[in-house]
Amino acid sequence: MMKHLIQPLFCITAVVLTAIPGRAQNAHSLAFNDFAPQHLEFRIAHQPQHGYFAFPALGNASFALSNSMIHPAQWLSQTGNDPLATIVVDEVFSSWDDPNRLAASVQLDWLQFGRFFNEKSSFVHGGIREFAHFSLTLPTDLLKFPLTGNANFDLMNDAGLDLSDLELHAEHRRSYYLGWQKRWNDRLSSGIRLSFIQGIRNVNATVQNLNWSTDVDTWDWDLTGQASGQSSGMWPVVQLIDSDGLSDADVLRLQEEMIAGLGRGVGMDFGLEYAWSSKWMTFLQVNDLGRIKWEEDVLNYTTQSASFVFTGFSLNEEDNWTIDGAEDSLVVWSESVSDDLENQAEFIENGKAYSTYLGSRWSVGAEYAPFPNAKWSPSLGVLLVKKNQLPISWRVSWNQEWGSGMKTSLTLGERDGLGTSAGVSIAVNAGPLVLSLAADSHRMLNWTEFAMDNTNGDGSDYYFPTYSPTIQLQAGVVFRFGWRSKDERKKSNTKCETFDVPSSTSKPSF
Amino acid sequence: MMNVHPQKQKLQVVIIGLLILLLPACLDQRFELGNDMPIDGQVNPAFALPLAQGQWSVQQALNQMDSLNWSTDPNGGTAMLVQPFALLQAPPIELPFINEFIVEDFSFGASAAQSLSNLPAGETMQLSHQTSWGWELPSMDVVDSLWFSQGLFSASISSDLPMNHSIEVIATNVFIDGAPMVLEFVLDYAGATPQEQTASVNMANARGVFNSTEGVEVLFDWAISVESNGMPVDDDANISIQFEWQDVFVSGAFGKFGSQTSFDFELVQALPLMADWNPDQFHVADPRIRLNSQNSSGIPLAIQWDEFAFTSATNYWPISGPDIMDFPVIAAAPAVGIWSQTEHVIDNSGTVPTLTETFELRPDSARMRGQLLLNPEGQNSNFLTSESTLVVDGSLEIPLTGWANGLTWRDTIAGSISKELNAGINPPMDWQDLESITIRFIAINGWPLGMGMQAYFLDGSDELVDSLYVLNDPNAFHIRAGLVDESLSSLDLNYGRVLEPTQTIMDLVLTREKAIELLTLDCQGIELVLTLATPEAQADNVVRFFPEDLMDIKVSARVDFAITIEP
Repeated sequence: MMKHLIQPLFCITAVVLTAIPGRAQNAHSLAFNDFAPQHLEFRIAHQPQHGYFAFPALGNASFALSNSMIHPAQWLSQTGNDPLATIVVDEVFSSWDDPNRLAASVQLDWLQFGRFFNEKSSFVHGGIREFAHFSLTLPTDLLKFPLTGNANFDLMNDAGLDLSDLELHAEHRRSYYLGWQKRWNDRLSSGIRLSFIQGIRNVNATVQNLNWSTDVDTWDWDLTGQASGQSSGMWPVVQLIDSDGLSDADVLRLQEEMIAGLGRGVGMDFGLEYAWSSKWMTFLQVNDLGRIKWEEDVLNYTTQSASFVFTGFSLNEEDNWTIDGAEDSLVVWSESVSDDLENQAEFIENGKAYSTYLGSRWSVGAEYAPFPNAKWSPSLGVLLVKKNQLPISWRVSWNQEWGSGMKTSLTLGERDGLGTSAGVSIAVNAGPLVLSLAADSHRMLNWTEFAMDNTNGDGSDYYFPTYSPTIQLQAGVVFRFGWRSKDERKKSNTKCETFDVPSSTSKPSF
Repeated sequence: MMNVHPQKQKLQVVIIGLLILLLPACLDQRFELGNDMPIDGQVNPAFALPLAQGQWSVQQALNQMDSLNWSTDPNGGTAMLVQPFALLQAPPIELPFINEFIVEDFSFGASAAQSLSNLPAGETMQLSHQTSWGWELPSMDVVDSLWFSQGLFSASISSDLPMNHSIEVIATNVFIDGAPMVLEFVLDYAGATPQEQTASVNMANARGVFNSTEGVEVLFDWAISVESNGMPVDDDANISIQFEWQDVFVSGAFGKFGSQTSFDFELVQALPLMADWNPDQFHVADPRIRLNSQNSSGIPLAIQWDEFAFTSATNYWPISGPDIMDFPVIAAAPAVGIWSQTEHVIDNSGTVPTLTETFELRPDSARMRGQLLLNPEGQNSNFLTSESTLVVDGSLEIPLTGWANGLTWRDTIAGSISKELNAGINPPMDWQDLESITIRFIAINGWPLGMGMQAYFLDGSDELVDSLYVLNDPNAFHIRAGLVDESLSSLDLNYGRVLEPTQTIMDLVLTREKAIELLTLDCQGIELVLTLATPEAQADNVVRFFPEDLMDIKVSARVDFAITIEP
């Protein structure tokens, strides 16, 4: 049975992981690369090198995947002499022992700009950002269920199947942000960014404390738990999918919702940076404080904590039960069970507005520059990030400038508890443009080939990352202000500028 | 400020560049996948599902047998089969119609005639007289009173008196609407004699009150008024009256009916249930026949049996014993409109041979013949009305007290079992990965009845090709009976009763081997055989079924897979 599942499993997995929209998380490897404007996402109080203006949709794009659930290469082994790979059951089980999460996000800035004021003591930036996120968390016991069943009492503990914390979350929002950075003195600087947020679609579904016990003797089921679901703007999508086609009115409605949104909210980012010396600098930042109130096209479901014992079809309740009428009796009985369950769980459906938090993210870090006066400005950085209930992420970084044309960060760290990986960020000043590229996981570069039944020559090959719990890519192209230094500008206009001015951004000391 | 040599910087760029180029190392392994991929480790998923559950009391189970009547034994509370029957519904004796007549003559004689002749014209004379009229009623020694509901009482008069005269006859002990019955005659002389006239009274709702010990005696008072017209009266002048009871129905009789008066009866009652009795499989310890007599007459009655027997088409089994011979007197009703009840139970203790023994001979009917005796204990005050009825009905009562052994229920499910199995498992299920399918029966049995099940697999000729269990298989399907304390005496309230339910978990396992075996057979049907037995039935241990005894049965299913192929 299991063997037959392998091929479709691969196909489904590959489709899911490549088709779901990305989850917008910024590359941690960019935190210490101030050539790239995106470093503001972690260090809003740290000055970028230049003011900038981004080309629409090109200034910043981020794409992230998290997968702690499906790693088929970890489940197989094959030596050189084996004609086929071997499924290693223990590896399958152990891979699901930890929390199992599939998440993806994508972030795209339609508009970006940033400009210094007051001799670079202030920096103002802003933009319009599109953000979409999807995550699915499955309990370990649910994943193991096809391989253990509900009645393999040797493998299961007395508590039965723990299906708690089954979660589905998806959100699409748009933010209009404006930030202000202030350098108060040589040591302290701060940054703040405010966002007006349009919520476009949202769905949250959670199953809490769900436990499915099967009695060892009677095989009765005992189900306990509760669930809740909130959605805004999702049911039209579902209905549209079901309706097998979109009418003009439907298309118009979706377009209007995409533009106007269904929820409103505000957000705030705030950060501080302090230079203890010319070598040491630390920073603290919090992102995404705030929430969205979803007010339109809302559909909510909630249940209370309930316990339901399923003992099978009750022959007593159907006095007229006969084999011939068994189907009707089963329908009547199942409706009765459904009603009982609904009553016990106090199932409530409503369309009340609800709020969701943006999901605050806290980050702290430090940067050490052993040779502060070196032209290549080498530095070591460390960053800690805590977002929601995810494990703490960390990353250490070796940063270096390559003249004034390029800055790189080679990093090592762990995102969301999904294993250690190396990362890199590169920002290149290419004339008026700044090109930036970052990735946090080197593991995504290692791929495994799965050859499906090549015996007749008609098989097909599939490729999948060997083991990459996270895949994170971020890139952007911006036009930088002041890409020609004042010296160069003066040289080109000597009549007007007959003397040199210091190029340092530091204030002169008297 | 630390300066880096340009060549070193280039070298660093090269190193970094190489690192960046080498990092995407790319395709690091390859796996060949196919349908025969080996599995390292064990995967034994098992899926269990509760299918159905129910609870049945003995009463609920008995109610499923619609054609039979079930009740509760008032003596011990056990469930009881009741087969009612009607024996007799008739008046104890028939009330009579009265058709009697009498002629009364008043002969005046010479002196009376002379006196009337001498009476001056226009003068009147009053005469009075009293008579009585008696006769006997059949079956009654003493008649205190009678009720009449129909018929006529009539009188015809013929007078030789040549004068106007009137005659009033009063029946002083016969009442119409509460007043004595009166007959009046007015004879106006028109020059000819005899003068004749007729009068009658409807006897509906008439009552007669009699004090005679000789039967019925009607008392008449006569009042005669004559008015002289100067005509002489002959010496032999006569007034003659004929009284007649014409089809007067006696609707009620009060008095004393004759003692030892008897009437014959003969009845045959079918007993279809008994014909199917299998004494080897079913033993009832305490059957009985309950006879209930209801009497709305004021006459006590006795039954004198000439014959009380059970019969079949070819056999005849008379029974006797004190329950038959000492049949109780059926009590008289205390008053009109009230029924007396007399119950009599015929059971094993008062019959020879016992009812149990007789039933086990499988009779198909009961024959009863005898006489009804009135006032069997001597003459007494009785009454009998047209509504008086003697109703004798009864019921065969079989309390579920006894034992059962080897009761068998069979049913055959026809179908191409092997073919269906093949179609059902291949595809989509890979039978090689299926270890077994288990149907689990969990019985909490509060009935004193154990159950066993066997399934026989049949070929197209209904010949046995295999069975689910081998003979005497210790794992064969069996649900134990509830626990009965067999040491209790029959006088104990808990004698034969289940004191503690038993729980049996019974797995009906269809293993892969058995299923594969079935695939190879030409199985065209399954015969299910369910056998029932009470505990220790072969030792004649008696159990009792109570209506409230409960049995819980739960059915669950489990599918076990075994994927254990080693590489």
